[in-house]
Amino acid sequence: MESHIHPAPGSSGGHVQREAALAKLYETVVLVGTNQEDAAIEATVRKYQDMIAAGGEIVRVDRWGKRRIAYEIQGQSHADYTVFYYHATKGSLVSEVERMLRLDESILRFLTVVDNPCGLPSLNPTTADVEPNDDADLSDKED
Amino acid sequence: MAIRRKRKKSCFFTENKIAHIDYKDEKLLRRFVNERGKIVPRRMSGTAAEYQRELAVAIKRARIIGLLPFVAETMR
Repeated sequence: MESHIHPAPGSSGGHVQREAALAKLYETVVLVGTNQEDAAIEATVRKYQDMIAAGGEIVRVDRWGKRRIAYEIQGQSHADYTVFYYHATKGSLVSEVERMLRLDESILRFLTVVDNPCGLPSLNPTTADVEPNDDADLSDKED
Repeated sequence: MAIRRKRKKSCFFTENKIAHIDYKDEKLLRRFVNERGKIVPRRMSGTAAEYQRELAVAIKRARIIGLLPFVAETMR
C-alpha cells in the first residue's frame, strides 16, 4: 500500500528539515542524595551526562546544586538537583538511562519529560537565581 | 440587605501572557497552592480553565521532584 504513495515533488528537502525540528527534546531532572561527598555527587552527575552523550545529543545541563526538598525522601532533607536537556539518537536511550537511575541508590528521585512546551528555560531563570542562596543558608544551619 | 460587590477575579496567566507553565518554576507554582500544599481551586484564584488544567499537571510534577510538598503542616 505504502509503495503507491509518492511524496509530492520537491518535498524531500523540506522533509529533512522537518525531522530536525521534530527531534524530541527530553528533559530529565535528577536528585542526587547529599549524604556523600561533593566529589562523589559530581562523579554521579558526570556518569549520567556521559551516558546521555553516548546515545544522544546533550543540549544543556543545568546544575541547580544543593537544595532543600519539600519533604524528606529516604530520610534526606536536601538533594543535589541537575536537569539534563537532550535529544536521543538511540531509541532506547531514555529507558536505559531511567533503568540506571532506578538502580542507583544515590539517586533519590528523577523525572523525565518529553517535549516540555516551555522548551529550554532562559539561562538565568529568576527562581534559580534566588532560591539556592536561601537554601544554602538553611543547609548550613541544619547540617 | 447589604449589597455584596463581587471583586472581578482575573487569570494570572492570561494577564501576564504566560503561554506555558513550567513545572520547574517553584516560585510561580507556590502562588497557586495554599499553606497546606493543596492546589487552589479556580473559583478562588480566577485562573482560566485552560491554564488551571496545565497548572495542575505542573504542580503535580513539581511535587514529584520535591519542589512542592504533597502535604504540609506548615509552609516554610
